[in-house]
Amino acid sequence: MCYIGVLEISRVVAPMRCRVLRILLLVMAGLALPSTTLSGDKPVIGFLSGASAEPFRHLADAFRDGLRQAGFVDGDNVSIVYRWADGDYTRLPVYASELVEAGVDVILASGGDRPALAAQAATSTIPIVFAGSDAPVALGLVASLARPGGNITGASLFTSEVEIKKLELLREVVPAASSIGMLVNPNNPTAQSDTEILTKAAESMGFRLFRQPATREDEIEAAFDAFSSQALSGLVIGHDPYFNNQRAQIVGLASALAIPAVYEHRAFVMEGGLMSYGNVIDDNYRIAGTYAGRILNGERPADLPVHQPSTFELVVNLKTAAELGLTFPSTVMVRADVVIE
Amino acid sequence: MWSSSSAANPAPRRPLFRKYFAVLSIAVAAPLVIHGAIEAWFGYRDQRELLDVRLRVEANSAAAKIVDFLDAVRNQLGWLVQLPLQSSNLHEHRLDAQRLLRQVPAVVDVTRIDGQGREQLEVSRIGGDVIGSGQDFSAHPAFSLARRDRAWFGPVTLNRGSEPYMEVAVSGNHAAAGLAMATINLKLIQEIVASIRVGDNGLVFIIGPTGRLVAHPEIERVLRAEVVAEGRTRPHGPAVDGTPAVRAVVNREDVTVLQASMVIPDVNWTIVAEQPLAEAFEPIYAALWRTLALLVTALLAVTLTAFVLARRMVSPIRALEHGVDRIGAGQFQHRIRISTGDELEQLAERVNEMADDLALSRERQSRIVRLRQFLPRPVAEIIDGSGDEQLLEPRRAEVGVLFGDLRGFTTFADRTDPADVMRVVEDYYEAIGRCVTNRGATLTHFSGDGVMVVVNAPMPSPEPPGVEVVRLAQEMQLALRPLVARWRAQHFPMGFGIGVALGEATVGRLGFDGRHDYTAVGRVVNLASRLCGLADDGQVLVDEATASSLPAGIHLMPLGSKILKGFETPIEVSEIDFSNAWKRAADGPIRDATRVGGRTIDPDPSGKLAGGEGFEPPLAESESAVLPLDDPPVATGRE
Repeated sequence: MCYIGVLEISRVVAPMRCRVLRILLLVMAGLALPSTTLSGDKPVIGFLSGASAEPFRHLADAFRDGLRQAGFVDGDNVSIVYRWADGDYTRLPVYASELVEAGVDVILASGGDRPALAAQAATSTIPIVFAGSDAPVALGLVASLARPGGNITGASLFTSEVEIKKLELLREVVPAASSIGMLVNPNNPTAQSDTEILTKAAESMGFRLFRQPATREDEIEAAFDAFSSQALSGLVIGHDPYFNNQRAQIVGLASALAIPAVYEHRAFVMEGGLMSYGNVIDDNYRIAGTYAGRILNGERPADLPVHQPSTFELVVNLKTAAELGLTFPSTVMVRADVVIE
Repeated sequence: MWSSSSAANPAPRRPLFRKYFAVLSIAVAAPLVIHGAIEAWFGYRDQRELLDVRLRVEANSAAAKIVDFLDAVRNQLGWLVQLPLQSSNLHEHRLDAQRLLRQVPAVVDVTRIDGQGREQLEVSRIGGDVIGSGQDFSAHPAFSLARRDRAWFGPVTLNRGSEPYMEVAVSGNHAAAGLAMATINLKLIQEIVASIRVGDNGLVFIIGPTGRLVAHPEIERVLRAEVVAEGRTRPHGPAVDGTPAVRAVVNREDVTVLQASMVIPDVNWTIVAEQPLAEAFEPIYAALWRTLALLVTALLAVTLTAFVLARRMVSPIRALEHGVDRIGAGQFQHRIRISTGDELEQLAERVNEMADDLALSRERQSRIVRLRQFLPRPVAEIIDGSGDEQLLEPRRAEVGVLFGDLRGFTTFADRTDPADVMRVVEDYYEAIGRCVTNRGATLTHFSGDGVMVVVNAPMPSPEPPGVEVVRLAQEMQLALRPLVARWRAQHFPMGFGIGVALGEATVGRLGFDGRHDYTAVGRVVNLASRLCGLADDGQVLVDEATASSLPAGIHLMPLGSKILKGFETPIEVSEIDFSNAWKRAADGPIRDATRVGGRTIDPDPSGKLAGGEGFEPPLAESESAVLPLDDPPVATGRE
């Protein structure tokens, strides 16, 4: 940058035909060059995601927003190396090792706990920032939310609890439901506990929960085939980064089945999903961005507390509801933060 | 000459420039520095006051916002407890609670408790809603306290060990209305404190009753559950409507800060508005920088002014110096030209006048020196003082002319060591000179052993010239006696004879090219010269005119007519009888018999004094006239 600056000065000076000055500037540039290449070594952030680039574009943007707030601009004074696993979690440990070997300064773990765990396995020294952990303490990523203590920190999500809320909302939309389907990703570390919580909740609400696991695109299709064979009144799409990644497919399948479904994020509803309830995950990526920047500025991840989500939004899509021949009850409408018409 | 002397002038020990610079610097810098100090001090005081006020205002306003926030939560909960809680209207209550969640983002969940302390409804943002759980809350402090005070604020707790949560309970106006209790995520009041900026680096934060941070612009510090003040440093301030005290403390980051704190009632939180004390010093630094800049500028101006002033002073002074040098070197016509219009110009004028005076003085001095060649000093000064040199103009006057001459000098001078000759001549000149001066006579010629003196010209003599000239002759002889005696004792056989004549002569100043002598020309001069040639040692020979002019007191011994060279007719010559004079001088060494014209004159007929030692009789031998008669003596005294 310094080198370019000097060159530009010399270009400005050139018309002056002040040869001595030009030579001087070029000499200065030459002297500045070695140190520029050394100090100009921009910090590198390894963006390790279990998802794919396109569906997570808005989240990567939010992350860069956060970085900018901390004073780092991608390509300017920081560079970001992206590793997208496209839902193939087996690639995560390989990518994590690659990033560690490349000597990145910070690893951002995007798309749930899996990438964070993979990064944790790969290094205990390079700072790791997670953008959406469901259970950072339970999974051993951090010692506590207030004081993570290690090389890992980030922004967490309330997901398992919120699954019940999704179930509740779905039942309010389809009060007569007796059987509801649920799509779960067994690769998600919280899948087991979530299923248990939800099964219990469904029982207390008085209906049957038909659970279908899916870890890949074809499995999602298979799961929906299974759903179609059931007389289901509605569908709860379990919280999972991969499902978020596959939201177009999932929303499409739900639409094809003409079944009311409740999702985790607004993005599903924007794609044509019926409704969503959950954290605003963009906020998490923004926080992760500022944390990455602060760590690059010298702060220790051990001292940066894990953020918990404080914003929950209910997004409803009136158009989809109309297609499904549904109307949202007032109890849902009054609580809706975003209504898509 | 002057240039070399001015080049030799050393540089002044304290040049004007340095003096002006010092004086002006002090005159300019002192008020500036004083002004700067005053400005800094008052600036600091004002800034301190401003900071105090600002901190108070910020603390107050933050407190008011927090109170507003809490009031809003309380008011919203107040809506919930307006209707009595019955199993029949639980659904309505649930909707109300859900609307409250929608309305107040900070509320995490709402619980409705009936008059008996049983939970009837729990609506949460996160978990599932619970209806009619019947959980017993009667022992919960909220139950009794909210019933008593209508509202209750619980302690600040940590959600999952990180986020500060607080329970708020509001009771209805009657028991059946029950209680509405809400859990509030205090993280959301962070926005309130984050929006407040005090000065450049100041901030507002809130400390809970246990000293733990409740709110801070840097949310991570809250999430870290930092305990910022444990009793010791925990500030306590007056109530919301009071004026918070401001004090300086050292905070956690070891920065000295000004803090204004006040306690919010109900929740017992302490709001602290804090600002680094260093900001209070900013006006001081600003004032110092301003003063410094002014000082530098002023000193530059002072330097320039001093330089210009010194230059303006120095150039006339140099001109003066230069002028004085030249005048001192004798160039009295030199004029110093200064037109500064001030005292220096006056001084230059004075110096110019002084040069004029000096020129005059030197002219006069040289004139006096000239006159002194032939006139005694007083006479010379009189003539010079009167400026009347007409006296010196050539004219005819009756003058007494005296010629004196050492007998035997030529032989002596030839045979004797020059040093002795010079000593003899010196003594002789001195004795003769003193006599001439005493008499106020005019010495026109003095050379070798001969002397010519004119009386009554140019200054008239007090007595008739004949008397005057004879008295002078007598005095000379008397003055010469001891010398002659000494010379003889040293075997220098010398004597002194005098010829005196009285008559008209042409007198006046004579000369060329600034070299002037006063002289007399005429028969009387030749006569006196011839008479001198006749005179033996100790003799004073006078002509007839002189003899006839003498009073009775002076005895003459006529020597008869003599043929004198250059005179056609014989001249009656008389010798002055020194008997009385010798007698008068008898107390002195002169009492020897005098031989005149080859005869021995006994000055002491009684013979009493004959043979007295120390006084040799005048030489018998008569030398030829020293002065050539064809060549009348013309003074050759040099200026």
